[in-house]
Amino acid sequence: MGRKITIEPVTRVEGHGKVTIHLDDAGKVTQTRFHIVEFRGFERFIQGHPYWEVPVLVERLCGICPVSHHLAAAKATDIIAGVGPEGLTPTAEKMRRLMHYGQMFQSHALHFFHLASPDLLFGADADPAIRNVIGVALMHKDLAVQGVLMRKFGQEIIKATAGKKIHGTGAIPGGINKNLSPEERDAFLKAPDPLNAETMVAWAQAAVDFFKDFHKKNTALIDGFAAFPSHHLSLVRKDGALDFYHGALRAVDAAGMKVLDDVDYRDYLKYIGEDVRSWSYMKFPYLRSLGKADGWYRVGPLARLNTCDFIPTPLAQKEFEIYKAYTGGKPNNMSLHTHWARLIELLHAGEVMRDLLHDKDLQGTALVKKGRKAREGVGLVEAPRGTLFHHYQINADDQITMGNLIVSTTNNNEPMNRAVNWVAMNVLDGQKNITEGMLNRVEIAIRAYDPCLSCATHALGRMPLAVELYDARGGLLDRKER
Amino acid sequence: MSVGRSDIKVLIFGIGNPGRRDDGLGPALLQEMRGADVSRGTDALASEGARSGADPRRDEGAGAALEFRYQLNVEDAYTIRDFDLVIFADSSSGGGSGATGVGEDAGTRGPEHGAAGVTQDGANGVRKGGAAAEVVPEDVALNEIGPSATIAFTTHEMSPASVLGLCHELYGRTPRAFALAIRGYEWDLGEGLSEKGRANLARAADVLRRFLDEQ
Repeated sequence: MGRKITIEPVTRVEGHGKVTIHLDDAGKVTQTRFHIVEFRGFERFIQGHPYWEVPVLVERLCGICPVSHHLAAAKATDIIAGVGPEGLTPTAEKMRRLMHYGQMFQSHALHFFHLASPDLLFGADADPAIRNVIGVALMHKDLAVQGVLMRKFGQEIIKATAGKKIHGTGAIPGGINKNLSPEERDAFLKAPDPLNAETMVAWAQAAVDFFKDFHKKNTALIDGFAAFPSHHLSLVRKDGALDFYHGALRAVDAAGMKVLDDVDYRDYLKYIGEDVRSWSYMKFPYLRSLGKADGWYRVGPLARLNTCDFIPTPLAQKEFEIYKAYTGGKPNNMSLHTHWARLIELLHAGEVMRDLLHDKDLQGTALVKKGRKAREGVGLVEAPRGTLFHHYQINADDQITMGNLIVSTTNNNEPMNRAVNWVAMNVLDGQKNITEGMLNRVEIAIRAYDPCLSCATHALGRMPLAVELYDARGGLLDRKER
Repeated sequence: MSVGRSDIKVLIFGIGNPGRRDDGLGPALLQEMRGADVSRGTDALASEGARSGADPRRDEGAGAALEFRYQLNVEDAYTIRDFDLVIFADSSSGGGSGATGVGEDAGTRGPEHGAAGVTQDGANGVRKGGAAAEVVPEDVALNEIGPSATIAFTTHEMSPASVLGLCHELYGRTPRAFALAIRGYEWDLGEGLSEKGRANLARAADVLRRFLDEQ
């Protein structure tokens, strides 16, 4: 009798999703799906609101990555306010960059230390009771302490630049509403160990070294797990450097050939389409030139280190060279190498924060610019999880009439489905007994993408944790709650 | 109002999303502690008194340090480590479960995801510890909680008990902790508390003030 195995929700990612695995009578995998089952409607909710409210409103999409939405919306409404993407004052741009890199730092630290590391440190077959952040604290206390404080440091940077850790108001159309006082700056540069910028860089370097050491001891697992070719997309700076805040859109194929050659992201609709499927509220973006079936792509740390040419900070660049050499300079398509890429980005974010804090422009007083108003604006940033698109139109009364958001996790929808399918085909296929370790491997594949499922459907709400087993005719055979 | 003993360091978390109506009851409680007018809406008020990371002064009200949280996070284990008494205030979907209501799914939330991470004790009132047990209105519950090693399915949304558990593992101690669950009724997108939610807020503030006076 065929079976459908459901993992619901996926543990240790934000929001919630459901994984469904269909087996035939012989226990062979016939189909896998990663479902998003919530609907939120933020794109409709913001209609009718004045455009200057949008950078604050859209932060309500998510309590995990509100800064990304705040800045993407600010960049879009900059254009509406008549200020081009590169027309901000130096103080405004650098305050936003500090905010954004602070966010990247805390998000990447949190993800690795508290979401991914339990799996790596304890293994997919470990007791779930210890395979969590408290288990990490018990067995690897230094790692847990550093993870907590790196997150706290990044959150304090956000508070100093955005005004609040969650749902800040710092970025406004055309600029920023505060600078960084010398006292605020010194609190980050001169604080006693460990909560200062230099220690954060040192800990980030140690995190990269930790992973490289772990990789050496577990090469087959890290290299082979959920490895599959794909296209990769991200923003890159004009000179090809990694840049989380601004750049042109670049996409490469699995071999490294450019598919999108540094195009202006304001024209994204010419290049990116969105497919819908009946079994998920989340959309499936694709590169129009390649079509719906073949045009899917990855975003996030793995993609960014595949599209950029170099990293403009010395320690991260050195690690980037080691990382690229591992694949002979070709794109990296190994899902678990996302963790390695994420830690190199963590190091880069630490270096950028430290260097920016020394920049006197942060104490400047020219905060806002205005220009000739436009009726439409597009803003993209590289959020921790990948490329984030915000697009708005307004009417003559300055009210939002259209909002289109493609969030990072939506961009990774197809890759996550492919990763689930890989695990199902390679780990679950043909097995008579489905163990918790097997099911956790499905989740490990998803967690590598660090999905924020709250954002992907702009949803709120929670679901009970349940696993449901169905026969081939859809009859419920068993249900388990965690 | 003030804490009875001046040598006790008290922290009050107001947890919730002020953009989701009564989910903002936790942050609104902080405004009550500051003596602010919550009828203006809780979102703007939640940030009043917020300090930058450089300012060593805490946001304070009624003799306690006040912290607004959209949701608890792992670094809150660090935040609480030096306090003697911590109050986790959050909205509840009712039934004394301490579950934080979220619209239609309110009833499905397990206690570990609720206002306190507290398992339902069926009672409304202060229990355990040195505080005197007393009858409180049914839509407000103040319960003592302890550390837990259990993590909810996502560590991006940690229960108070998990925060206490992580604090214990990292720093070798945990403060005495209570969960204050305030019954809410409306969870739609939007600012401002429901009328009944606001009434429960006033009762909750009164319960908390009397409790702190006795410490």
